[in-house]
Amino acid sequence: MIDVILINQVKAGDRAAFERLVENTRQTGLNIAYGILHDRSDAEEVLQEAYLQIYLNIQKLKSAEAFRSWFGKIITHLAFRRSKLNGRFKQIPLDEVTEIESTFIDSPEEFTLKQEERDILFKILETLPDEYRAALILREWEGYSYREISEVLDIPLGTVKSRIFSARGMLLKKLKRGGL
Amino acid sequence: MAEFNCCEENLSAYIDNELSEDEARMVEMHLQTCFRCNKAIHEMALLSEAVGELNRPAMDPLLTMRILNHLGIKDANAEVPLTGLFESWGILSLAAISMMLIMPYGYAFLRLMYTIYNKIVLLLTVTVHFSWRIPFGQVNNILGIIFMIGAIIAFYGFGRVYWGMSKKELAS
Repeated sequence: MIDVILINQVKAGDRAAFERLVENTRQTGLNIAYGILHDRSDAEEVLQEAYLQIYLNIQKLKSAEAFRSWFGKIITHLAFRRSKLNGRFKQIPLDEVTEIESTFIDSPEEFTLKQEERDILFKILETLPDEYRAALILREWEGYSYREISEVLDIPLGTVKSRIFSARGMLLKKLKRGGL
Repeated sequence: MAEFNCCEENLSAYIDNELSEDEARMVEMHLQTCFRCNKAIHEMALLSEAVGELNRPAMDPLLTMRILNHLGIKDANAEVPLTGLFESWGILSLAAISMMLIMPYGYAFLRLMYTIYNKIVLLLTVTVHFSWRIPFGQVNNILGIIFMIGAIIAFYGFGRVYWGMSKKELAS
């Protein structure tokens, strides 16, 4: 939970408070950036850029309560930009969207998740389109609500719902195929 | 085509606790009779749990320092240098590593230092022998000083320009 008093201290130009803010939020930021980029060094660079933007622009933040969404937005925006620069930004092919609809309901066998499948799950996650992976990571790793995710990714609430569902569908489909 | 009640998107939102009370109640009623949706929700919950349990990246303890350095903000402790020094984990780690190295390898390390010290005259002689020997003189000395000052100013100037450019680009 972000401390409102701390945010207000940072807005007032308190440098020690900014350092505390970095300490309190850096793991969340790193998780989001790493979840999108799957590269530690890139994620750390994105985090450095993100804190620079926060430092320079926090005055523009209207309310301290909005910090969590604003923070997530800066990180995901910079991570997407980095992903595009690296030529790795992936969008969803149309055929995958249509296949997802029946992924859960039409599978005949009983689904279990063995340890080796859990081990390759992270690699499968990397193959998801960036915007879907970002929505899923924000939800599963950082507990962002659908409304917060819609603010972070600038998409309607219904799109958040379908993206998270589709991301789960794609993951499951690839897991059932036995990997990538 | 799935029936309206077998809406998988709603099942996904249900396990995330993101449905309204009415929608959630409808899903619960539907789950009492629909085997397929029960199976689907079980799979989604299992998958959600597995993704949630994936390892997060470990935090580099020096990351905060790197972030603050990137911003050009000095550590708040820097105003009281001694406090900063003693509270710093960096200096403690350095002391611990030094102790670990000196205890078993102290003798060898000191012998190496002693050898270098003994050979320092030889090293200086070789350096002087191969150096670019410009004779001392008023003109040469003045030119040398101007050259060194120029190099320092250029180095500082390039640093400032580079920092300014990077800051502008990132802030945009």
